[in-house]
Amino acid sequence: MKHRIATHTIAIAAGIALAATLSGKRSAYSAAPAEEETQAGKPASTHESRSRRPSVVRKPRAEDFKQAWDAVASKALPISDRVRLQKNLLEKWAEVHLEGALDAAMAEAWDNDRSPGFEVLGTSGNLYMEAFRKAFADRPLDSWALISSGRYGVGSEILRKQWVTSVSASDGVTVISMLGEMPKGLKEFAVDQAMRSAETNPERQAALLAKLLEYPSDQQTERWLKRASAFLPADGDPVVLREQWSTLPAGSQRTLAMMKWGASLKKADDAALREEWAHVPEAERTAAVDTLLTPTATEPKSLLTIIDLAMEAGEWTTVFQKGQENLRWHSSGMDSVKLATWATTLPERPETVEIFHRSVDRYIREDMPRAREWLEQMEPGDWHRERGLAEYSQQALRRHNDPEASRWALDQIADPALKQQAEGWRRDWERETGKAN
Amino acid sequence: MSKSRKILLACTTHLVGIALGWQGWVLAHAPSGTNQETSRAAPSKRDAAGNGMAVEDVFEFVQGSDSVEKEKREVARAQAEFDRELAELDVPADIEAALSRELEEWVKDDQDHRKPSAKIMALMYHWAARDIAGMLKWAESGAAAQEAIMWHSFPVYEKLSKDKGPEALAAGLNGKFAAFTAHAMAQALGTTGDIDRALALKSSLSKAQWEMLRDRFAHTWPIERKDDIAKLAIAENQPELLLQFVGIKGSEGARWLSQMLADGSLDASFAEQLSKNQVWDELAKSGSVLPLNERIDRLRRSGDADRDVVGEIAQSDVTQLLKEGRDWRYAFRHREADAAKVLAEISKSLPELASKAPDALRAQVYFELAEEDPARAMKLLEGQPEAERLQIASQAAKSRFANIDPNDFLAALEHVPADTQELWDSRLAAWNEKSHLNYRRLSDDYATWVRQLPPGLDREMALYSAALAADHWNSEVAAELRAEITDEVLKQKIAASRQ
Repeated sequence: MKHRIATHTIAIAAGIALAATLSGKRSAYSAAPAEEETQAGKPASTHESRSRRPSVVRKPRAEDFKQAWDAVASKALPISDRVRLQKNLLEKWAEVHLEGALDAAMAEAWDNDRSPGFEVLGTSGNLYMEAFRKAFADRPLDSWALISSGRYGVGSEILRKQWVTSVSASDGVTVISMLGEMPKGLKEFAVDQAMRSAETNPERQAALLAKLLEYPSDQQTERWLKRASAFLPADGDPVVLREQWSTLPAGSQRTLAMMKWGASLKKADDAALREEWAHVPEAERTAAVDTLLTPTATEPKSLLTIIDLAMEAGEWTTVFQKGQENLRWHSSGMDSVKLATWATTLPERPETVEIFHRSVDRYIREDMPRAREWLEQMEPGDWHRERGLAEYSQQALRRHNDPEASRWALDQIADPALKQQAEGWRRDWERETGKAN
Repeated sequence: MSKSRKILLACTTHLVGIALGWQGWVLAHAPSGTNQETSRAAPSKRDAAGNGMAVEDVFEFVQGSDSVEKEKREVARAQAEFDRELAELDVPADIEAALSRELEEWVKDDQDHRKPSAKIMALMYHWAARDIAGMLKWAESGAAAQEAIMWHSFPVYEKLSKDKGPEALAAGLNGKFAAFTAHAMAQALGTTGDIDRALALKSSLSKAQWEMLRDRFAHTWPIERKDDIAKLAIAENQPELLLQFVGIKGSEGARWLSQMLADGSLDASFAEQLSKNQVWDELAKSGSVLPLNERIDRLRRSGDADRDVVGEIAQSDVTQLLKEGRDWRYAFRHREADAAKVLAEISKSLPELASKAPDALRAQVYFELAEEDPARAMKLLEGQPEAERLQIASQAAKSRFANIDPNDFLAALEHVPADTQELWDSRLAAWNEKSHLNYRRLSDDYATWVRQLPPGLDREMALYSAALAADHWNSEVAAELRAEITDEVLKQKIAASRQ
C-alpha cells in the first residue's frame, strides 16, 4: 500500500517535472526577439521611468548581467521569485557569455531549498540548470567543450546531465555521437533521453538506432540497444523479424533485431504469442524471454502469457525481476478478474509471492464480499488462500477502514509465520491511524 | 534500473499523477506579482564608469523571457484558438480517422517545438462529447495517442464540463486515463461547490469509480464550501479525505478543523477518529495554528519516546517561513545579513517559538545557515556550552549539507573535532551519508575529488565512504578507492563489510 502511494507521488513529481520541461521547451519555441518581448511584457507603470533611461534600448552585456546577478542578494525576495528572476538572468546571460553565466550559477548552492528532495528531470536538483536549456541546445559542441574542460570541477556532472537533457530534445544524434566522451554513469541516461525525445517520430528514432549501431559491437553497445528498445513502436511482422535475428551472427545487429521482434509481439494475443513462441529455438529462449519482458512504454497485451512462458522455460530470475516489474507498471490497465484468476495458477515459489499480491489486490478491494467468497472457496492451507487472506486484511484496513474484516481474514491464516507478518502490517496501520487499543 | 527509466515508466503507467502534477505546476507557478513589485522597488545601481546598464533595466530586460509569463500567454493563445476552432470546425463523421491524421503531423515536431493543437482539442471535444470511453480506449493504443491526451485533455474536459455538465465525463472513468477524468470532474464539481450534485453521481458509478472521484475532492473543493466536504467525509466515513483536504488548505484548513474538534460540532465518533489519526498529528506540526504546547503534546503522543518534537516543530516553522517570506539563507550567503540579524528576523516572525524554545530555534537557524557559510554561521553557537555546540555542529554535519558542493561540507567539518569515539563515529556517519548522495549525483568526478583531498582523517573517511557508494555504480573505481585507504580501523571495517 505504502509503496503504491509512494509511486503515485513519484508520478506526480514526474508530471511536474514534465510540465516544467515542456513549458521550458515551448518557451523556447515561442521566443520572439528579446527586445520585442521586453516591450510587450513590460508593466505599464514603468513606461515613464523607462523613457528616462535611453540605455535600455540596447541588450545587456556580460558585465551588466554580472552586476545584476550580484544585486539579487539585496532584494527581499521569497525563494521562488528569486530563483525565477535568476533563471531569467542566466538564460539571457548565457546567450551573450555562457561561461560567465555558468560560473555564476555554479558558485551558488547546488541544492533545491525551494522544494527539498524534488528534482526536475535532468537538473540533478539544481534550481538553476533549466536556464541553460536553450544555450546548450543551440551550441551543443561549444557548451560540451566548456563543461567538460574541468572548469566546474566536482560539479561537472550536474552540467553534463543538463546538457544531455537539453540537447536530446532536438538533436539526439549529437548526444549519441558523444557517448564515447561521457563518464560511465551518464551514458545510459543519455541513451534514454535521446530515444525518449524521438518516441513519436519513427524517422528520428531510426536515425538514433543507426547511430548506436556505429559503435563497436560489444556488450556495452548491446546494453545501450536494449535500453533504446524500450521506446520501439509495437509494429512489424514477428515472423519476418524472427527470421532476421535468427540468421544474424551474435552482436549488436542481432540484439536490435531481436528487440524489434519483441516489440512486434507487444500487441499479440495469447494464441498468436504462443504460436510464435513455438518457433523460438530452445537455445534462444533465455534471451527471448528476457527480450519479451524488457519494460517498454507500450503495454504488452499478453503480459500474463509472457510470464507463463518464462515460468515454463524455468527462467525464474527473469520472472522475479522483470515479471514483477512489468506487472507493477501495467497491471492497473488489466481486467481485475482475469488477473486474480491467473494469480491462482501461480506456483508457490519465492519469485512469485509479490507477483501474487499485486495480481489480487485490486480484485479484492473492488468488491470485498466477492473476494471473501472467493477465498473461502479455496482449500484451507492452499498458499493462494493464505496469501490472499493477508492481502484481504491489508485492503480491508487501508482501503475500507474496516478492522473487523481484517480480523476475520487474519484469523483464517494457518501459517504462523505469515500470520505474524500480516499482523505486523495491521499494527503499522493501527499506529498510523491512531486505532491501536 | 536507473531513476530515469523509472520515471519514464512512471510516465506510462501513472499518467494520472503526471497530469495532476502538470496542473499543480501550472497553478504553483501562477505569478504572484511579488516579483515585479519588489524588483521595481529595489535600488538602482550603475557600474563605476557609468556606462553600464542600471540593474533595474537588466531585470526588466530579462523579464520578457520569463517562462511563467510565456506559459500564460501560451495557454491564453491555445484557449483562444481552441474556441475559434470549435466554432469553425465541420465535425467529421469519422472523428478517429480525422484525429489520427492530425496526430500524425503533430507528433513529428520534436518535443522542443511542440505546441498544443487547437484542431486536436476540437476533435477530441466532439469525440468525448459523443463517446468519451471510446476516445480513451483509442488513447491507450500507442505513444502518440497518449501524448495527445497528455497535452490536450484538460482544456477539453474543462470546456465539456462547462457546456454539458461534469456528469458528461462519467463514462470516462475507466482504463488508464480514468484518474485524468476523475480529476477534471472533481474540479468542475468543485467549481459549482454543489455537494449534493456530487453525491448524486454515486449511484451511477461503480464503487471504485466513485472512490476515485470522491478522493479527488480533497484537492478540488473550495475552502469556502468546507462544511460540505465535512458532510461528505462523515457520510462516507472517510476521516482521511477530510484530513487531506485540510492539509491542502494549509493553516486556514487546520484552524477550521481544530475549531470544530474543540467546539464539538462534529459527529462524536467521527471526531474521535480524526483526532486519533496520525495525519492530524502531523498537520499539527506544520503551521502554527495550535498553541505550541498542544503541538508538542500531539507529536509526543504519536512518536517514539526519543523523538525531538520541538526540533521538528522549529524545522517545520523555519523552513516554511524561509519559503514564504524573504529567503534569508541567500542574503546571509551573500553577506547582506549576518547570522545574528537572521536569527533576530526569524524570531520576530515566530515569537512563540522564540520565547518558549529559543535553543531549538537557534539550532534550526544554524542548520539553515551552516550550509551557506559554516564559519560565519558558527557565531550563532558561540554563547552555547561547548558540549552542546559540538553536538549541534556534529548533527548539522550529519543531517545537512546534502546536494551541495562537497567542498562546503569539508569546510564545515573543520568546526567539528573527532577526538572522542562518539564524534569519530558521527563524522564517519556524516561522510557515509554525503558520499552516498554525492556519488549518485556527481558520479566519478566525486571519486576524483576524494582522491585529491589532502592526507588526514577526512581523506580516509571520504575514501572509505566513497568506496562503499561507488561499489553500486562502478566497481573498478570502488576498488581503486579502497586501495588508497591507509587508516587501519577503516581498512578493517571495509574488509569486514565485503565478507
